[in-house]
Amino acid sequence: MAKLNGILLALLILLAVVVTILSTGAVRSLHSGFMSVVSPFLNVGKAAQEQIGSVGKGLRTLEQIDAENRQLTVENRELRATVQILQDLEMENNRLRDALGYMERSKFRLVPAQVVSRDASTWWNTVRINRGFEDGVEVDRPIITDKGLVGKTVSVSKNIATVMLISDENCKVGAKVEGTREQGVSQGRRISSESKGEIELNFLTKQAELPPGAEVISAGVTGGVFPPGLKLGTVKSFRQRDLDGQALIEPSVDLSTIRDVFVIVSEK
Amino acid sequence: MTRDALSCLGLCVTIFLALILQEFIPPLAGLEQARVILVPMIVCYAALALPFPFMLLAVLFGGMGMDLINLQWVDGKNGMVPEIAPGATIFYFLAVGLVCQGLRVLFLRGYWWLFSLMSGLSTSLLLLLQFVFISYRRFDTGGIEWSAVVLWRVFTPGLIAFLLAPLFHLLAYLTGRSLLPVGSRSRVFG
Repeated sequence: MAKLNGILLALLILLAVVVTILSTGAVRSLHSGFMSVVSPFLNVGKAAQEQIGSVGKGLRTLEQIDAENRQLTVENRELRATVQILQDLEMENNRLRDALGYMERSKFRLVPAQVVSRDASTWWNTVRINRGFEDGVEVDRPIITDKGLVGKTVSVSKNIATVMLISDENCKVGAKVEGTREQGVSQGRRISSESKGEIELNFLTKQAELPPGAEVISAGVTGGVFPPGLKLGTVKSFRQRDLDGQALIEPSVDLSTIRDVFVIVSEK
Repeated sequence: MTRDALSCLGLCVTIFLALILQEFIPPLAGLEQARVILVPMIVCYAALALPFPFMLLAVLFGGMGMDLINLQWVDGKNGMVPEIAPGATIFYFLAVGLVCQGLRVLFLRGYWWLFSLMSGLSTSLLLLLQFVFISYRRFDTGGIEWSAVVLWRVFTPGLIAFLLAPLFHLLAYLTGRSLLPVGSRSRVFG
């Protein structure tokens, strides 16, 4: 028996080592396959959660109206998001900055999606949405709402995708402050007790002196993930550091309560 | 053997359900956004209640499940890479499982609180190791940043697991008597 246990232990360790040293492509396939298996359960869980919430609010008899209302809300938000992008395009055209290129970049095709669940991990800020490669979603696609930027897709399976929120330390966005020449790189904080999330805008000039309330938008780095003009949030405070200036940004989207989002799947 | 195999199967299903359930439990707003994490508790239960080969199976299933559902992709030198390699939690759960196997005799004699203790410790230690590891990976952006929030997020889930473990044990007894090892059932509740 002891010999059998030893063999099984060795097998488990071997298997764990093999899994640990798998190539990135193999891990992505494994992860995608696992999430495809899990996604029906997550969808059922979300439906159950909504059902419970609906019962709690006493809206059980208004289910159909509620569904229709939600569909219209989604359409409305999609239209508002599109309008915002078109407004950005108009503004950029007015400034005569890279007009032609910006027009090309600002024509997005949006796929509406819903947040299925929020990652249960403690140290990362991610959510899962109910769209995957079947819907044309790929890795590194920006996620937005009508209020601004939410994050980007980091893993995609058949019909579910994981979105890294802009409040995650690993999500870095080239950003600029409206009305100034200040540009920097935004990223989330590793540890934040704010449920809405907090973002830092680093590498600003020391003399920036940004006023609270100034709008921060994505700068649209060449070859980057995020197109220009997407709103990140507003400046909460500014401080000088030894070598640069740092602004604390309040996200324009409440990342703790988002439900309906849009994936920018392509630029025409 | 059949009873143990069934117990293992039941606990693997429970681990899977816990993986899903965890996703829908919101962070605890009043406790610095700490999360409720259930899987280490169930793995501990399997490791304390089941014989060695079945413990290994539960460790493999729980570790792989935790790694894959929490897998985080970050920008690397050549595209996106997992921040913590899948398989890491298998090693961690294996270490926990081996300790639990050493305590198994006591658990089967009725020292049920060992389950609570191991659940709390293993949950907090897992979070602590994750934090240290990602801090090491992100050393260029600040290194380890200790704060009261970190401690809350490490120790609160452990405390919750510590408190939930007896309830889980009781629930398992009430709902699935045949799936529990005879020793623990008779000593603790019988």
